[in-house]
Amino acid sequence: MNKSFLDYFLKIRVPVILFVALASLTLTYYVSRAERDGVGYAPEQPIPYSHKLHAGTMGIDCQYCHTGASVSRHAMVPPVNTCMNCHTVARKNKPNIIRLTQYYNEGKLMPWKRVHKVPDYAYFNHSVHVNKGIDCQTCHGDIQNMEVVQQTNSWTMNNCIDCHRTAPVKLANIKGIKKGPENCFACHR
Amino acid sequence: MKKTTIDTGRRRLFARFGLGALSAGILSALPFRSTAAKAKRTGDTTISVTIDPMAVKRTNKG
Amino acid sequence: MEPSNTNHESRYWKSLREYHNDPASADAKAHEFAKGVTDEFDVNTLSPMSRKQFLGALAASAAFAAAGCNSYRDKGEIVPYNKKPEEITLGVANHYASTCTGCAEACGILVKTREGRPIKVDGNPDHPVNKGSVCAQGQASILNLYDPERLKDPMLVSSGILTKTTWKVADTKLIAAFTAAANQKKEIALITHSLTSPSLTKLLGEFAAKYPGAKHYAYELFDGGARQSAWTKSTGGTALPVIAWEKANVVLAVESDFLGYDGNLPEQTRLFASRRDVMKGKNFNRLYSADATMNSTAMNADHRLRVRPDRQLAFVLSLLNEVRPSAQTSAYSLSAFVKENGLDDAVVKQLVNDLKANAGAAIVHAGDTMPEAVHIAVNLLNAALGNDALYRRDQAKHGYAPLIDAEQWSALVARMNAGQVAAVVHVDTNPVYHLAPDLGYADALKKVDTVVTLAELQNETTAVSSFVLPLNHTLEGWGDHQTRTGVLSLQQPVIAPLYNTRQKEAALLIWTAGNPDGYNETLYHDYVMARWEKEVYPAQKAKAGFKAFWLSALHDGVIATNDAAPALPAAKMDVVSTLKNTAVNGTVLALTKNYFVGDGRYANNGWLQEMPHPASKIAWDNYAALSPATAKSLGASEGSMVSVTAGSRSLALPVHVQPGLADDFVAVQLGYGRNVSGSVGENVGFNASVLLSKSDTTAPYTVGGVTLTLTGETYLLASTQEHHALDDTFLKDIHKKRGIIQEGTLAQYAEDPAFLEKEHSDLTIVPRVTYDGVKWGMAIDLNKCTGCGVCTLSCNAENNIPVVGKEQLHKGREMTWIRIDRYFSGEPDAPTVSNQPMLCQHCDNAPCENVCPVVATTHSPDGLNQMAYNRCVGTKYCSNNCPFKVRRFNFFDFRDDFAGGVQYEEPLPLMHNPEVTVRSRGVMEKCTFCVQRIMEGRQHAIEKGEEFTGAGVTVACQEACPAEAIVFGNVNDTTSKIHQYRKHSIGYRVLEEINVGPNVTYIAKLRNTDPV
Repeated sequence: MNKSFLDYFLKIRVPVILFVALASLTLTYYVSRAERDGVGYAPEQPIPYSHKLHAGTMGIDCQYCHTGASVSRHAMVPPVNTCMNCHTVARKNKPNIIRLTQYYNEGKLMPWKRVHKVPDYAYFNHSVHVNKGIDCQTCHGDIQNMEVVQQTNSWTMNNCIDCHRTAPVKLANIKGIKKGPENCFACHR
Repeated sequence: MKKTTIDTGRRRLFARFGLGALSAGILSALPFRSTAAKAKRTGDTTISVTIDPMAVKRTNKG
Repeated sequence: MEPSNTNHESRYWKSLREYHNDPASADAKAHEFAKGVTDEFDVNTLSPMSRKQFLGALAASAAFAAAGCNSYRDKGEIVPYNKKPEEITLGVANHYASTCTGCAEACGILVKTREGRPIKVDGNPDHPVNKGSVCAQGQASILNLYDPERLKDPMLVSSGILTKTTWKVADTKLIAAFTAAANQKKEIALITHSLTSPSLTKLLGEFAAKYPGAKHYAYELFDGGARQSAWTKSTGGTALPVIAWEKANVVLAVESDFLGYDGNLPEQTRLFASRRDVMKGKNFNRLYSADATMNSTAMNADHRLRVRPDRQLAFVLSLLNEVRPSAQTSAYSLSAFVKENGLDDAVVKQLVNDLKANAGAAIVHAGDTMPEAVHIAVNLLNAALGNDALYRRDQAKHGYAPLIDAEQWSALVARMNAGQVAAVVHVDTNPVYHLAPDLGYADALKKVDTVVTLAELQNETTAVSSFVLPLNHTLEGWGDHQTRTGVLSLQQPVIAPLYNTRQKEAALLIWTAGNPDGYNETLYHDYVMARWEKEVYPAQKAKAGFKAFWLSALHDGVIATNDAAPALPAAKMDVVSTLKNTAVNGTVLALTKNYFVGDGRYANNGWLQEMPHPASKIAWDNYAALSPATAKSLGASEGSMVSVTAGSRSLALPVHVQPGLADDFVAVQLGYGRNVSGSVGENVGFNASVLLSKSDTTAPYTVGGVTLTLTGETYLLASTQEHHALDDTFLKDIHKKRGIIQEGTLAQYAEDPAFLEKEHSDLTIVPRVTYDGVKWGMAIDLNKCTGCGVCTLSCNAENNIPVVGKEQLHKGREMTWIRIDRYFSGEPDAPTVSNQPMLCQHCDNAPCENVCPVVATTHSPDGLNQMAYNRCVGTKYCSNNCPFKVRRFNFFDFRDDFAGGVQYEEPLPLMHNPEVTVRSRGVMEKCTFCVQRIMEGRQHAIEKGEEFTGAGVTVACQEACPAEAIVFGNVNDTTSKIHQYRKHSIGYRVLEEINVGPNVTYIAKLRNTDPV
């Protein structure tokens, strides 16, 4: 009987355990890859707006369009009338601008594909970060070099807490920056 | 090896648990609203939120 | 035959056939399937795929599907405005000043809007009357704007049913009807509630000019007509005086709920509470209440005398006789009255002494339900004591149209029945519900050709109207209001009408102009603005032009005008001889105001229906309140159905045994039992209007000769507090034994400010956390708190609290984060009442934090007990551990569960505060000290680059409290108010001895019973 028990153990139990362990590890790894959090996600936008051109080459300040960044929790995607500030005149004959103007004139809503999204239960506040001196590129990457906006951060809580904990080191260029809050209510209500 | 059969009572139990686990898995994967007691009702009138242009907002909260 | 046993092996057989070696069984063994079974089975039709191949294909396709699923990264769309309104910054709230039209007080309000949607109504701090607070109904009025059951389109009766139509069609028909009425010299009756608007008054005049025969009638369910006519009879004057409550050393409330809804609640509460301020020394006022109904004022009184409403006249006249003996009052002897009514002689003696000693600095006030005679007597008593010194000389009440009385109603009904009235227009009124049934108003309406009702929600009157026209909510309309001399406030819309509704004034303008095509959105705005330019602006002597003046007036919400208060005429003492004693024998019924649903207009407002009555703590119902003695003699207990009969009028409703109520007396609230409302308000409670009668003209709300008969049935009254016998030995005074309520008298405090023994334990086995930065704390001054409940409604609006309904409330599942606990002590007949707002104490050693298995609740570095909804799995261990029982669990998704999911219907979700999570099923929630406001405060400090000290952060309950009883702030800031309150000698914590370290300090109530 002993012999056949060992036999059963080696032939059935060990492979099964090994398989389950390996499968779980593989699945968990697959599920937790950065790509799963959306790093690298760069969807196609309804109008191919280029940050590289506007923010990079032309040097337009982020907050010219994203006006909420320093006064509100939301940085805000600019309304179509902001685009028309320039584009009623600038390059108004280009096909994309004509499409843009059509959106504006018809009062149609501009359905930008959302790239950066933190879950609803996390109440992220742009204003406190911006007013502490943290610049947009820290989290959003080198937007001024992106033709198409790409997600460069995984926006997991781990990621946020990491930066909060190591802020004096990570953001040493900002004078007097202290560690960010680590308590629940700072983000979750 | 000795052939083992699971007796009927225990088989029924396993079936029940398995069904429960499966349905729990499926229901948790489905969007909540589709199985909610009463689905959200959208009226036939579209509500539009508009500010009256002649209203004057406060600059201070007082 | 024996089986052959050739090999000495046992032979096994499965059937007798086999046993007997039947050749057929051997044949059966050779074939796998019995004959006939596989007849339809044809190998050639089988799938070429083997089982192995099939499983392989299955796995492969699953793998492909999984690989193809890359839309998990899709976060949807983010859609900005097309043309963003300039005033909106996403995430930043805007405020607009306006005026509340929930009742005739017309308090100034400040409305908070987010992205164009109003989400909170608070008082306008610049309004001199209500100074930054509103009543509970004002706070909850935001829900009415988004009520999914609002009327959305005009309707008219076509072939017997109400069908949708257009304004143009309705206006054309109505203009024709009005013109015809005018031509036939028939009456057009315009029925409104109290008029508070000078512009609307002017407009009504213009309507009457256009259609001669148009008559205006203003009425209220509880008409202040008695007070008004009494004033005129006692003094000859017309403008009612405004009382300077803060100057009164002694107040005698004669069945007056001035701390409730008899008058302007925010103003009266604030002024009264200012004289109960422990921070300002011991100059407390003293409140006596002579009442039968155990109203809010009675519960706050230092001394209480149980006097039935029919005896009040005798009471006041006997007091008058004590203070100023005269031949006309000699029949009223105070000592005889005390003996006859079983009053406490010592208290009455002290009352008389107090009134005499404080003559000229005291006030006697009668409530709105008191008849004219009592008001006259009270006016004379005040005059005799020189208390008219407390009537403000700089401000008087300002009205626009007198309210009609029962006599005028009867006359109108007679004319309607005679066919002399061609049209009746109910301008936002519901007389079919309000009026005494014996007036026969509903039947008389049938004789009128054109019955128009303008309303926000369907009601009993729209159900019998031929035209139903939907109205704008207060927050969608323009207007101006004046209820006091010298104060004129403006109403402006904070949102354009959500539906195809119009302002009542705009509808009247169209009919006056006679042009159904003439409507535009700015019609009434232009009218008000034009009137202001012509009539208001010139008197202002403003330095700026009219346009700038108008915009600045809209910005502030209120302006001061130059109309002076008329001179106060002296009282004519000899009027007293006209007063006749009203005392009756037998049981007396009082029809009282309720606290939250108004005259019934808020029936469909779930928050208000769910708000428990201050004395009974019963919600979602009204009841027949009986004193313990009366109930016992009747054989009734809580919930027994009793039939209240007065002559031919009768109503069956449940009994509530109310400690402190007068004996041989029953009190029933009006405003319930609506049978045409929405899904929230329909058939909630019992309609006590059936007990009103047109013949009760002298005392419409006090009915004598009442009989009570038990019907034998029972009814479930849902209450938020235990109703146990007050003398239950275990539970008697448990709130005092456990230190939940600690109280004293002013005399005790004056003698020894540290008279409160405070248990303080510093014993701990874990190191105490020190809070060096900001630490939040709250203090609630129980001397100022009247138990009005505005804090609860404000919290509801700020924190997206769902309505749970009667059934769930009965199970203790109400979701309000702050509640007013009401404790009785003393004798059941005349108990002392203690109110205590109870909310999450944000304990330093929170017992809830230790036991959460998933660490969903933790402590923040600034002293708050944090709650992360996304972590919570709903063990409810935390609420089990909470000694204050302030944690609320979402047993259901209450928005889904209650009233068929009406709280999820459009547009109610627009009302939610976007800064606060809307909780779903299975999570625990509780007060967060308005963390969203704290975070906003932090944000502003960071924006300015300043250090955050916590100054300027107000929480919703604190902001709303009319008495300013709630103090909140950073306890580490030595300059803050909370710092002073926390170390006050009579400040204590609830259940302090269990050492959980609560951060809410309660200032013990000092009853000013004896002279200091």
